[in-house]
Amino acid sequence: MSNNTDQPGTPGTESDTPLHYLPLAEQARRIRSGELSAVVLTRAYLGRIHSHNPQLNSFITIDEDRAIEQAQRVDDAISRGEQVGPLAGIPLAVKDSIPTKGLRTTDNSNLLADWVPEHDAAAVEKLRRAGAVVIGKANLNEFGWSRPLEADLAPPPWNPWNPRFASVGSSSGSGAAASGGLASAAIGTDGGGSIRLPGGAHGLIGFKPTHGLVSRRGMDHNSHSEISPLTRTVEDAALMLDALAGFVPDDDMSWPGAPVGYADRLSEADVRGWRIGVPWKFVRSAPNEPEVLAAFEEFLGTLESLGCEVIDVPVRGLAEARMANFLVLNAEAYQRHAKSLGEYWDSYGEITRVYLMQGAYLGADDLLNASEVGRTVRGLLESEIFSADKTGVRALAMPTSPFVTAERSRRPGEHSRGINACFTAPFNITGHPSTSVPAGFSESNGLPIGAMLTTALHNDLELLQLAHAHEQATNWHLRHPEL
Amino acid sequence: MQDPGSPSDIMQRMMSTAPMSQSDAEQLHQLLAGVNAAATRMAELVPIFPAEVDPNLLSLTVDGNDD
Repeated sequence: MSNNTDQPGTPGTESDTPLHYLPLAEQARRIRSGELSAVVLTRAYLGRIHSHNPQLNSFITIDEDRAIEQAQRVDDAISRGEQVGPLAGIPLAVKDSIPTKGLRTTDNSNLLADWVPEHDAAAVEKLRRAGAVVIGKANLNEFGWSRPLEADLAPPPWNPWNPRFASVGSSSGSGAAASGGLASAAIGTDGGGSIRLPGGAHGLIGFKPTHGLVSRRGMDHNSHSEISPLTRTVEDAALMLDALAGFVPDDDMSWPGAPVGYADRLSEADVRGWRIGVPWKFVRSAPNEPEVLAAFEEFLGTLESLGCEVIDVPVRGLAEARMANFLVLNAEAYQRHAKSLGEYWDSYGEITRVYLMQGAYLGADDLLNASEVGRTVRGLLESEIFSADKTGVRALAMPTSPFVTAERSRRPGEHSRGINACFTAPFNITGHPSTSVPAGFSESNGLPIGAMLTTALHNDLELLQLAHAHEQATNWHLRHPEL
Repeated sequence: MQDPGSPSDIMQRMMSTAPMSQSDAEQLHQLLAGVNAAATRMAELVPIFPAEVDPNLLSLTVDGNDD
């Protein structure tokens, strides 16, 4: 597998990239300078949504009129010479589990088909404050759980890179919208890999921040699910994180740290000499498809070419952390849905409702045991792996998923075992920042393959810097689906 | 974790919570095997107070089995 022009997609350069595939950062620069109208950009995406959403099912709801109004306000402010936010006029897709004021939020469930929230989630408030335009609500697995079915409120999304294949979820519509050029970027949630997995499968940056960096206020259950960006470049992810991060006092999980300025500091780091740990025994024990391992080895080679030192580092407890995360997810999901399952059983999808019942037999001791094991693995990673006094690893590297496509993850046996998320889920309960980056393509079906990097808690900046250095050494991010 | 028993036991108990069918109960029974395995593993790892989880008992592989 080589980084050459025989690979799928449009092997363009930044200078000949069409407007809808331009990096968000470049679109924002042009809007602020008056070179590009926010209304023109928004209308361009709405046009593509109308053309391609009937095939891709990326969006459940499109907020056309209000998106144009928001974009017009940005254009008006700029024409008056007013200061605008860093995301001014940027059309974003928001996963339909994230509440949006006055815009229905369905969780892709018939149960919430007509629910219109009275408040924005804190993350949406922050994006709007930065000037972003919410263009619509993106498709997902029902309640971010379960396996998608044609009978869901919205049918499953398809991958723009090869629409014969399903989009990996649960932030599947967000991934399809960002990669297919139906929005500048998207946000979703990652409770076990639901940003990083679609990031990998769509050729995107799927960046899960440190637990608490982005407030979950206004969201549903699931304390380890992080609101996260899906973007076409690392700089775009950094800009999104700049807007999303920050203390929210009435969120008990929000981290009271000062803003870092991620986008401005992307190029500050010299990654030469950075030690990158690969837990090879763990990686090789997964049922990896050969193309995944080939792409991963090429990814490690690129890091070495940047001057990083790649070492084998045994990491204990990742399987147990995944199990612990699985138990907490199940307990929280059941607790939140138990009453409505009794009242509205038939309104839930036939697989979702059974999945939601998995937590019914768990007790407080199970949940607290899982939390304790999660804390142990978190401590081990901090004290043994990322500590400069011990292994001194700056980042852990793994594939994002053992599988190239969503199809294996949809098989009932594989799905219930959570194998698709075997690399991603451990870092939800431990809270570590973790990102999927584009690392190649399948030669058999043209679908992207991701690799994953994870750094120490609150080291989101170094994670972005390392991902950025890798991106500068490749051209995966310059390829786009031919839609 | 409580022992869920057979699909019939599940159906009998869960009917008080939700109008579950026999087919639903059979699916849930299969899923609960995974939940039970995870809960059992967690319980094995958490020792008698005041000892803490022994990191050496944690595994190095995806399946949690180092053999």
